[in-house]
Amino acid sequence: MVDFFEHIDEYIKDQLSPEDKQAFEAEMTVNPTLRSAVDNYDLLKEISMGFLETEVREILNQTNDAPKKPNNYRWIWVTTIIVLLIAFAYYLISSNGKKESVQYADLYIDPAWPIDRSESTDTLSDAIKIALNGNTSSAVMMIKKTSLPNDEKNIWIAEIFAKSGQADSTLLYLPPTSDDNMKRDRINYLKVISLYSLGKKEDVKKLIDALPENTDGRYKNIYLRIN
Amino acid sequence: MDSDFQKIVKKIRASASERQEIIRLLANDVKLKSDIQGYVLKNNGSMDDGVMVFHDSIIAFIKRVFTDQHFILSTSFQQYIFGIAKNIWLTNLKKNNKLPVTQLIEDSNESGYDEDINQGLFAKDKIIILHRILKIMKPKCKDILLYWAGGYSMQEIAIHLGYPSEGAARKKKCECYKSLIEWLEQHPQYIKELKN
Repeated sequence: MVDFFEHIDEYIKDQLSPEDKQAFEAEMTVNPTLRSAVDNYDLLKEISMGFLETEVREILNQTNDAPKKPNNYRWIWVTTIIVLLIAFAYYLISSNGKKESVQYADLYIDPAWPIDRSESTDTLSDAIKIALNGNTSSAVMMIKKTSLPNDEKNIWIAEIFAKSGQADSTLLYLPPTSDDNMKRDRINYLKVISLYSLGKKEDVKKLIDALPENTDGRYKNIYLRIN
Repeated sequence: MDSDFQKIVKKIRASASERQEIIRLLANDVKLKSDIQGYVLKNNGSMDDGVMVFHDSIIAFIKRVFTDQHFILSTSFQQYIFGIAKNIWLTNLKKNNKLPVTQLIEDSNESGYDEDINQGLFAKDKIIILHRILKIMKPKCKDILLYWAGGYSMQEIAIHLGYPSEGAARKKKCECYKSLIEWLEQHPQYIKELKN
């Protein structure tokens, strides 16, 4: 026998001569692929018949009336779409919520903080340092205890609250206005961004519309962005 | 055996293209399809079940005609396929405990088709493996192994597939068989899955 694989059928059907059968079995001991071919003979036949089934199924599926996938799949799709829609809606809502706080951070400009870099003790300067380190309430308490005029105290307290994004408190301490144009513009500016962060857009609009012509250009640019 | 059936049998056994022509013909047999769907619907099934049974019946019919060279019909091939369909559906109902066994036996006898047709069909997971195997098989290998598995002699295979001699067909079959077993040896998980 030249190629033992050509005689697998005869071996399986026991049609080989005793000599050929002996040679075939001897070959199987040294040829694991031949051994596997014999061991899996029925499986290979089954696989080969399976080719007919796949051929028929392929054509039947092309007739466009193949059975629809089980409802489970449909439900998986429906559930997936619902979850995606909820996630998208949540994203829209949360990004909308973030939008204002992000805008506030974008809109916020630090004032010229009265920080004394020398070793001398200055209560306002110390309070601001504490505030800028995140301890707003201690800083406010310190400022309240200073001998500064009330308007001055209130402006710095409002600034500290504005820095920490506490719009209500900022508005509470802001004086109505100031004769000093720089201070006036800053007061108006803090009012605008605080009202804006509180979502009071009508009030913001009214306030911007009523601003003096000679308002600082830096703030005007911010108001343009808000509008 | 009527001449229509003779033609169908000849084509199913002759070549892949002629066989596919018959499969399309059967797939588009509106009356046969609606009869089978109607039967399934009347017996606790859905439209989808009806289509599934229609398809499985055609597969079983093609397989039977292809492999059984002594196959003779005493009825029309449509009635025979309908009998297969009833058998498939009743077996399915029994498997899912939706039908008393006694009714199954009565209906099976009535259909004139008493083989366990489901045994010859591949489960979906096995069909996936078959598709993987087909991807690596040369088309000529697929054809020759199919005829070999269908019980055709090397002489018949040579005639159907156009090999110059029985020896040439044998050599080709041997080459394809070897390549298939070598591939399976490299993917033992498929052997395990297919044997399950």
